[in-house]
Amino acid sequence: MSTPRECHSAVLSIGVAAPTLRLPVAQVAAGWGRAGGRGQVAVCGPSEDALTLAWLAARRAITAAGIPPEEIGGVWWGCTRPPFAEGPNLSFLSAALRLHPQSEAALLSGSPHAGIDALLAAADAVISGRVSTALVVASDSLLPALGSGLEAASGAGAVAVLLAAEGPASLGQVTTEWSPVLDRYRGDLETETREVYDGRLFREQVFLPLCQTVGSSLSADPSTRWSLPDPDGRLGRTLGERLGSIKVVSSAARSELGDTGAAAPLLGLAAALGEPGNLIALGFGGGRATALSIQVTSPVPGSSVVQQHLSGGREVTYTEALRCRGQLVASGETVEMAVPPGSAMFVRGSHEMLALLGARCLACATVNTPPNVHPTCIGCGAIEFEIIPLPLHGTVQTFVVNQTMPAPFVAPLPLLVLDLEDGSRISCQGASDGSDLYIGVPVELQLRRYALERGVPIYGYAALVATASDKTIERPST
Amino acid sequence: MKAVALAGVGMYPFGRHGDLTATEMGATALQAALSEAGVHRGEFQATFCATAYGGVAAGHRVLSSLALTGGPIIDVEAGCASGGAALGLGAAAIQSGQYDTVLVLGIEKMPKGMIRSSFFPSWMETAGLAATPAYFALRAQRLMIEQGITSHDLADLVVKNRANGVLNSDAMFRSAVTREQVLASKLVCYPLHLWMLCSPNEGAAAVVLQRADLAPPGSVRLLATSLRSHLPGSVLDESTPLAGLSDSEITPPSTLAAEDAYERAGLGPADLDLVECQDTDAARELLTWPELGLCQAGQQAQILAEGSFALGGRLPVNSSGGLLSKGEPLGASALGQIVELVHQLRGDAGHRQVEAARVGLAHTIGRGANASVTILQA
Repeated sequence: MSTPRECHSAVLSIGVAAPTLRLPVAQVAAGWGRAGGRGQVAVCGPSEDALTLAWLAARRAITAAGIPPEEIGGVWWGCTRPPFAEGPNLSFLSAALRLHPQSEAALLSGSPHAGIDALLAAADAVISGRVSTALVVASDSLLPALGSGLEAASGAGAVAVLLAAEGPASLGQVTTEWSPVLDRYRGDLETETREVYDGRLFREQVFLPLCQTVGSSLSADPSTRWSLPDPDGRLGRTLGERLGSIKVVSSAARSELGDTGAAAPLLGLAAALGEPGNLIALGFGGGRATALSIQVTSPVPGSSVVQQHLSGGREVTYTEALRCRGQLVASGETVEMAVPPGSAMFVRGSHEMLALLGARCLACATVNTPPNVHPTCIGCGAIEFEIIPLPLHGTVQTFVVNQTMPAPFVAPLPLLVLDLEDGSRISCQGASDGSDLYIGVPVELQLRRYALERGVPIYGYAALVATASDKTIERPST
Repeated sequence: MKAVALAGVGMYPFGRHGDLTATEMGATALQAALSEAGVHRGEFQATFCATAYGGVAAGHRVLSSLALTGGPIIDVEAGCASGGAALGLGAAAIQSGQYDTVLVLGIEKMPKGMIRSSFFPSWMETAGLAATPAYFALRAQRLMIEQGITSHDLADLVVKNRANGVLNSDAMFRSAVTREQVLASKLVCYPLHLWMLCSPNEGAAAVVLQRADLAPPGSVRLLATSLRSHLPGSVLDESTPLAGLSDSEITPPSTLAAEDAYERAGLGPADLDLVECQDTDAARELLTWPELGLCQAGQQAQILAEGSFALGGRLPVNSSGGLLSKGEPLGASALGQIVELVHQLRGDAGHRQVEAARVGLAHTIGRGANASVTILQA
């Protein structure tokens, strides 16, 4: 029998993020000439990935807590497969979240257990007193092997929580157990994740025993709400039955998004953080299972909008999903852009692109954007500036929707000129198909992947019509 | 200051000409202009050659092919206003008394497909923000909301210019179009459809400038030519930083150039008999009318409906058919306008002749931003 350890820290706030596309599983089956297939999985659009989802969930959690980002001690990010196999995953995320330049960061990776690993590592940093506030992010967007069962099961999503010593929900007991076995696998030379196991053997000798052991080690009563792992769409229910008549709350997120990998344990509980009571999150991956209990004493900020942030999405065909994942690629050459990702422009401009910074002229207060390309003020010609973060909200000054774009860009591509809330003006891409845009409409900016340039992801901000806002100008009739 | 005359003009029609080089087209245009002016080898002192894509020493190649080298040959690049810039340099050299006779030449052979331009900061291209027609459309959107322009007006502008192009044997597109046809052409980026955009192409135009007292009798006079760039912070002009200050309070470069040219010519918009103006896209021409003082902002729809700026109207604009009919070979397009004005002011413009035309204005605006305005008088 496993003995739980105690994990004394607390959740201050929560944020979640879902990608914009939904793929009906029946479409996948039909693609391979098979009938059937139930439910749907979430798929990243061309401008989304595990980093942009992590940013969105984290930003929502930070906003819900009302804590200035520069006061957060660090970010602990769990992701099965971050965008850079090697590269600046953490510094890009920290820059885009506008964290303090000396903040801590750790990337936990390699299996869907990484989300739990990130949570526990962040909790340790809080418990030790090293940081007072820790940001935990778990996000995943798997690239499933073509024709494998993962295509019908793997989705995408992100969840983020802020941890501190005290808060409306306390972390309690934790139990982990492991067994050195393979389940899903991706080697260094492979781009797609595949399954390397016998389904029945895995279920009976690996998954169910490990999960049952850690799950039953925690104290629970019939009112306890559970988040269970469900990698294939069936194991979750079986596990629930084996654990007895328990209340499972993770099915809602699972049926909306599919298996969200590293994000699944916390994402499954996110909405439940709005109601006082006991919760248990159970995570599995890479031959490790962990169960963690959470005691909610009052609704956690951010939990009330979880459902809203997970629902919606645009249904796509299997072919469109393959194109978005980069698994269906047109032959022929793409337009190579002028700037290699290793160039001086990215060295100098990367931070201001990721953190969306402007340069305010000390003489005339005009905000010059981006700072890197304006050594002198466009307003008065002065040369002294203060670097400031720009607001992520504004209105459309003018826009256009490009109906034809050379590869690698995807049409329709909106381009916008925005008047931001502080009076500064920027130009950027739009994140929608443009049909909802008009001059004067309020928009918000989200971190998106602009392009894969020479194989390297390039990130910047893209505008979306703000969801909840007072529209000051009526859409003109056309 | 010496008065300047246009002693001769020549064109290689704008279009697509297969393997023909810019050098060959330039030579043809230049020979025609020299022949009109009666100027021969040794009878001019300098050449200014406008081109944006011509490469190294493009003007030298043209003059070498005609065995006319020996004097200074200077290539000039100022985006779509390159021809206007070259004309200004040539005119200034004569006005100052430095030279008596100067050749001004524009040549271009544009690459096909999306215009890749070294104009854009590379970060914009990487961010997908450098697709050319998008800028025209961004500006068109503002024009529609601020000056009451509709899609119908944009289409009607195309109808007007293409109708004139039918009468121009040097135009690339010589068929009349209807509003419905324009609006049914492929949507490139709203509100601009394919037929509302001029076609990048190839061609050449040449002008022989001469001290007026030396030019053949009846030569058209150059009253003024002016080149201006955008003021800092101008957002939606061809400078397209697309960031920074408001565009509404900053005088656009076309207005700066026009005001300067009017002042130097000693006349105003009311004195003009015809205008050739930059119609890179349909919205660009409509935006330019008030910028040149041809009408008030907001009057464009009414002017289109009444036909005031059509051939036979109060002030014909783009009697040549404009770039929408001729296409736009960057370095040559501004001088193409000059060739049209010279024919009109001489009274030899054939079926599209503007009656009793005495004063004409040519305008270009393009990347840089650069705007040029030239005023000629019969």
